[in-house]
Amino acid sequence: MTPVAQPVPAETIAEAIRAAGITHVVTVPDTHQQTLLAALHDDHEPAIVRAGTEDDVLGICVGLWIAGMRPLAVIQQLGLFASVNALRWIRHEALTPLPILAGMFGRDVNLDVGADPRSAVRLCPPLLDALAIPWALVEGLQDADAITAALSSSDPGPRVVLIGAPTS
Amino acid sequence: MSGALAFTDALAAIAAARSDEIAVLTMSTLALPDQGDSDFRLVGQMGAAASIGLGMAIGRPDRAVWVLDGDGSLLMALSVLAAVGDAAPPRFVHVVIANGIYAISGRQPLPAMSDWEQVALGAGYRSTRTCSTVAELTAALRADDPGPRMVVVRCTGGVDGLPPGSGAIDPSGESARLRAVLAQR
Repeated sequence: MTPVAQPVPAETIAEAIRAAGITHVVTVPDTHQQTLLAALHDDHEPAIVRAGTEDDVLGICVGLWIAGMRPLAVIQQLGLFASVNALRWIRHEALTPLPILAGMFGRDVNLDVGADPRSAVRLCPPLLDALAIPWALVEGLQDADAITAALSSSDPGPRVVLIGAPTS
Repeated sequence: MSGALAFTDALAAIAAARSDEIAVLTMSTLALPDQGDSDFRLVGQMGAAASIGLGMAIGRPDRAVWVLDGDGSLLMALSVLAAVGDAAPPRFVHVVIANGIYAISGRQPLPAMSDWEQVALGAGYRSTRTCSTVAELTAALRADDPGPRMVVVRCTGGVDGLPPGSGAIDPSGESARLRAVLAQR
């Protein structure tokens, strides 16, 4: 069986992050993006800010944006479920421009996301739709433009990029 | 709570001790007197004051940031203390109004939290003080203690319902306004 999702190299995403002028990566560690996080830690550019919950990640990003910075949130998709109230507030009230890279923890790469037996995977797109948050699914290098688009956007509110397979 | 300031006296003392700090106001502290253009008035997202203030302090290390939090609000996002301790912005001051109640929702009691200083120090705050008089609070706010630091204000009472005018605050306008102010100085 050919996997639906293929890895995107961590360095490809790291280069896109640097090219977009991201100043801070605010993160709760993510299994799918561990090679990306390792690459960013090694480079010390942009700065990494560690948090314990996705609620904290989102709040820190709002503060950084008000301070004139360009933050990026790197989390796991389970954190989208955990931080629904914060996402709602940023999308519909604060209107903070904020790219979010979310790894699809537990996703079966041989199945379409909508067919995944795990609710945390299958229900992620409808969750974002319910919040009216724009999202894209990256299933391989051919979708990397979606990452660039999210990172460079200044549209109000979050833009979520779901990373479909572990970064290589 | 014995040995405690009246809530309104605490806010008045905080207002009097201010100079040019960025301040994040939330819930009851939205009633702070003499608000200025460096204030961020947080509505609609209880518990986020400290994380937003932390982001500001990281992004603008040249500016002091005061987060005027409530003990009930902070309990909703206690994990932020570890993020503050880890990032350790030296000019971050976390003022916690410890009145032991959820004032706005009807003065219901909080789950017990007896020692905020120990919690903050355990999370990596560099210094803490607890105040129960105007003189102690004024001295704490003006102190040159190492940061990030927490100032716990033992209080009685609070505001009943959101302070007047709070409901008209637009979070997006508030964010854009302060971003523009900070871009100028």
